[in-house]
This record gives sequence, structure tokens and C-alpha cells, in this order.
Amino acid sequence: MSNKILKEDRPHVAALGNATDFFAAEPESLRTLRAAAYERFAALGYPGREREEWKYNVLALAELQRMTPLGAEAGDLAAEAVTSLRALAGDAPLLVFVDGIYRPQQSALGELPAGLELTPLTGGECPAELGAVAQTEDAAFAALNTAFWRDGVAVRMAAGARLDGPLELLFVTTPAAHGHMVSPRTLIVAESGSEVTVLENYVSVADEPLLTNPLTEVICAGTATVNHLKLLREGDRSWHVGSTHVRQDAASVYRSREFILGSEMARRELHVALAGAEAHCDLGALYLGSGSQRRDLRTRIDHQACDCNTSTLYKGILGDRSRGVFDGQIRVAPGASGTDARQTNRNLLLSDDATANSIPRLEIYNDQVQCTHGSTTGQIAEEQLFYLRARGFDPEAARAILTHAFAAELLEDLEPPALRELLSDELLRRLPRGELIEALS
Amino acid sequence: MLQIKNLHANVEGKAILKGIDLEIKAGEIHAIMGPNGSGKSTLSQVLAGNEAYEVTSGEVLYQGQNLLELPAEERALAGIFLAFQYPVEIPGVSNTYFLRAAVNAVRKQRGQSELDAMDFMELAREKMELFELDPELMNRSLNVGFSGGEKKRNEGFQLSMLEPILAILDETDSGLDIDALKVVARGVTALRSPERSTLVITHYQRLLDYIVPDRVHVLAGGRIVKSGGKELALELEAKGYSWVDETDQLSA
Repeated sequence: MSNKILKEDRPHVAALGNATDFFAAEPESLRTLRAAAYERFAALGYPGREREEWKYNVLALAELQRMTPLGAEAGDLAAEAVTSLRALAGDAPLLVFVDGIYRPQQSALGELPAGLELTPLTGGECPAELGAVAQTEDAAFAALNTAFWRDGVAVRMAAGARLDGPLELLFVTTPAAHGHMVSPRTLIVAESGSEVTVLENYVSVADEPLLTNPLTEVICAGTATVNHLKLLREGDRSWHVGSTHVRQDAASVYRSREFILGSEMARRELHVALAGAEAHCDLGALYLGSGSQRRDLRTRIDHQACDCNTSTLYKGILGDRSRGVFDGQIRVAPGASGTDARQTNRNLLLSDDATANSIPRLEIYNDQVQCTHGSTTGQIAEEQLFYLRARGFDPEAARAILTHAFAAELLEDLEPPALRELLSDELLRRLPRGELIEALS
Repeated sequence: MLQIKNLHANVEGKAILKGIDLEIKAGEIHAIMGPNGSGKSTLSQVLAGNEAYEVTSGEVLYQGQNLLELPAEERALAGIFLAFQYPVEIPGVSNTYFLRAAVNAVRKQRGQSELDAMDFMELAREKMELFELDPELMNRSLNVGFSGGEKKRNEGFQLSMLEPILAILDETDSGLDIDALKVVARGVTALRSPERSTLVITHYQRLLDYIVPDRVHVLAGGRIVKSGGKELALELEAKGYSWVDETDQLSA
């Protein structure tokens, strides 16, 4: 670590204080990775509105600069609290992280299925793949995570092995994280021909101002399948800035579903590099906004190889004064003939004061491709409303039905069914007049 | 049952209905025929309570009460059913969920007990057979992926499930082939009862071969210009709408 940077008068660096002390005991390879990321962050600083990628939803700089990385001071969590916070009950293997620190006592791993290997990322020897996929070059928060993650897990699925049902990673924040930055780190490696489903479940036990800055790297080796589910239900005063970085080899499958329900500001970036031919990538997200919440969803799909296909469906439901941003980039490299890339963003506005921004970015350097993008933003369609009223539904119930119907598309094919039910309940609770729907069913 | 008196209505500020007078008694089937743009669909939308249509004057009494002051949903609960010319697709709302909620709301209004899932499905299967609809459609989203004919038959099926007091069929025959037309007509005719009235709106006479009306009215330029028995439909078919326009001008 360069003391030169620490001594310099840079508020964003100075605030991090002595948080780098724990680096010293780590292996050389990790220290090198962290130092590079730290210097990258020091050079970049926190992004402000002047950065094109941040111009819609920026985080208040003064507050950011007060947020220090949380490590040893992490809070505690009663074992019984886990039961109500976890998304999947029963036999699903569960890893619990409290304020970013792994808690084996609260976790429930049981007997791990054959082929599944879990390695804690506690700053000791790390898998060689760590840091191989993450894009930190122009990304302050990804660099920050790399510099400051204290704990996490590497999930490895052996070649040809298959995990029935999901592995749940439960990330809980507690009052101890008040005013801090929590940076969990995850690495998922699916070796050739394997299949694994991982659920990242982000929740809070109290409503504290804090920043969750997770970073997940995913490597899908040839013909491997990774199903990646992300559920965000943190407190209304929290900020969440998370990113996923994926590399897909030949004929692999990566499916992502993100459900953004909580946090004052939630920003998710999803980078996918299709590095091998005939890979398939399917990205879906549902984001809800109410009050003055902000949602910022970014996809960066890089078609580097031939005959890959990607489909993106991101849907937002925005009420009150909330704002939702979808920014979807598809890049097709000169050599990526036969690419089929489809992108759709739909936004339902529940109030006149809600805002949706939809920004497609297609960069296509090859003629032998199919790329489409579509975007719609609007309120509930009057003809649908009238049709329901003409069948006896009062306008409030009709609006509630149509709002839920808009969200339902992303729940239809969701596995496992328990997660679909949980989300269905969450939507009834969080969308306006959900009780009217319950009364009808 | 239904009395329409000197009804005037605008759409986007433009006068479409210019003084409709019509009375339908319980148990009667009336047909309204007319050329495109004569105001047929506007009349059906106004009766169903679509707020995009502005009633500027006149009166509509339904079972003795002022229909125009009721919102659309209350009209539906009071027994008015509009079979839409263009049934609306609603992704994410299952046919079963939608129709069971609608049926139970009407039953509640009528002081009947609500149908549980089993009784509802049994009744639905029976009625779907009447309209030759694949029971599998109940699991789909409302009208999504339905063929044009399936959408129209689904309207007929809903009608039979909701058992309205006044059924309004807005160009139910448009876009239907002759076999589907017969299916829908047979289903609607099967619902005929001394308590139920039906208003059939159509451009063509052929539907009236299968749903035989008591009265036929010709709508032109926003007014009923001619009324008669079922033979009027045949006369109109033979002579064309230009015949009505001429008669209208003569009588004006």
C-alpha cells in the first residue's frame, strides 16, 4: 500500500483512515490486488453527477465520505432471526453474512452435495480466479469492494456436477453498520458442464443509513449453467451499490433475475462477457420504487464470440416521486458473427411525479447480427382499466390487478416455487392496494 | 327495462350520438344496425359507462334508475354486460382468477353465495363447452394469445357465466367465420329468458339469422332513422345502407 496516497489531502481517501491496516497480514497476491484497487479508487474518487454514468442518481458525497469500511465491529444476529430473514426454508444450504462477516453458527450447510465446494474468503489464500473478471478500471465502487472486502465466499461447482435447488447467501445488515460501508465479496465458479443456482438475499434488521457495496464474480466454464438470483430488501434509509461480473465460455448458460424492492437508492450493474461461442445469457429484473426511492439498473453485455444470444427484460414499477433508470449496453465485437441480442425495458408509472429513464446503447461492429431493443414507459392503459370496470371491478382494485399483472411476467418462470411465493407476497405488501388483490383471490 | 331518451354524446368533443330514443322491454332482443361511423359502438360504450364518452344531454333509465349516474363497475354489478368489439388483452391476469372474481362479485350483489374454486371450475367447463372453447384457455392470461375467434367466444362465455340482465353485443360477429358465428349465436340464444334483454349491435344481417331479434333499428348519423321487425334487417341487406340514407333525407 502506498503511503503517499494516504498522506495526500483527498477527502475520499482520508475518510478510509486506517481501514487498510488489515491488509498487512494477507498473502502477497491478495495485497497486490487490493493495493491496485485502492490506488484505482484513490485516483477515481467517488463518482459525482459530472460522470455520465451517474448523472441521474448520484449519492451525496458528504455522506459517502463519512462512511468507513466495516470489519471487526460487525454486529450480531440471533440465530432465530435467521429463520425469518432467509428466503428459502428447509434443506437449501445457507451461508449467513452479518455486516459482511461470515457467521458459521447461523449458517446451515448440512452435508454439502457432491461437487459443491465452498471456500471462505477471509483474506487468506484465495482462489486464483478472484479478481479475474471484475471490472474495476472505471468503477470506483467495484475498486472499493476489491480494496475493502473483509469476508465472502467462493462457490465452486465441480465439472459435470449439479446442485439441486439453490444455495442461499444471506447478507444481513444490523445497527452496528450504521454509517458504514459493507462490502461482501462472492466468487462463483461453475466448471465445465456443471449447474448451480445461487441466491443472494440482501436484508436489514433495522433501518440504518449505510452502504452495501457487494461484488460478485461469476465464471461459467464451457457448457456450464449458472442461475443467479438477487433479492434486495434492505432498509429504506440504506444505499445499495452492487455489481455482478460474469464471464461465459462456450455454450454456457447464465440466467440472472434481480428483484429490487428495498433501499433508498439501489444501483445494480451487471457485466457479462460472452467469451466463448454459442453461449446463452438471459437477464431479467423487476424494480419497485416508491416515495423518493431511486433505482439504477445497468447492463453491460459484451458479445466477443460467435453465435451467442442474449435476452434482457427489465421492468420497473415506479410510484410517488421515485425514479428508475435502466441503462443497457450491448457491444458486439467485429468477430462476433451470428449474435442475437434482444433488450426490452418496460416501466409502469403509478404517479405523475415518478420518472423513468431508459437508455439503450448498442455498439455493433459486425453485420451478421440480430440486435433489437424496445422500451416503453407509461401509466396503466385506460382500455384495460375500462375492461375490468365493465366486468365489475372497482377502479382501485382494477389498478391493483393491472399493476400486479405487470410484475407477474418476471415471476412466472421463477424457480424454486418457494421464491416465487415469497416474491408474490412481497409484491402484495409493497405495491399499492395489494390487500384488494388478496381479498379477490 | 331500458329506456333511452333523446341521448346525445360526444367523443373528443365531436358529437356522435344526436338524439337516440329506444325502449327495450324485459325478455326482448333488439338489434341495432348501421353503417360504419353511425354511432353504434359509441352507444354501447355509453351504456357500459366508458368515461371517454361524454353524454351531453338525454336520459337512460335502467330498471327505473338513472343509469348515467352510475360508474361502469356499478352498472356491471347491476347486471349490464358489454361483449366488447375488441376484447382487451391483459397479460399477467389469469382468465380463471379474473372471471371467478367477477362472477363472485355479481353473485354477492345478487345475494347469492360465492362459488368456491371447484364449483366455479365445474360451471366454467360446462359453459366453455357451449362456446366450444378449450378449457386450457382458463389457465392463460386474459385474452393473451387468443385467436380473434377465441376472444369473441370468450366474451360470449363470460356473458353466460355472469348471467346479465341486459347483454350488449358490440359487433360480436366482426372477424368471426360462419362456424364461430353460429357457436356464439347458439350460446347467446341459449341464454334467452323472459328476464334477460339483449341489444345486438351489428353491421351485417347474417348474425340475425342466428340470434333472431324482436325489433331491428337502423342507426345513421347518430340517430335511429328506422325501426321495424326482423324483416327490416333483410330489407336493409338487400337494399344497402344508402337506402336508409335516402329515407333519412326524405323524412328530414
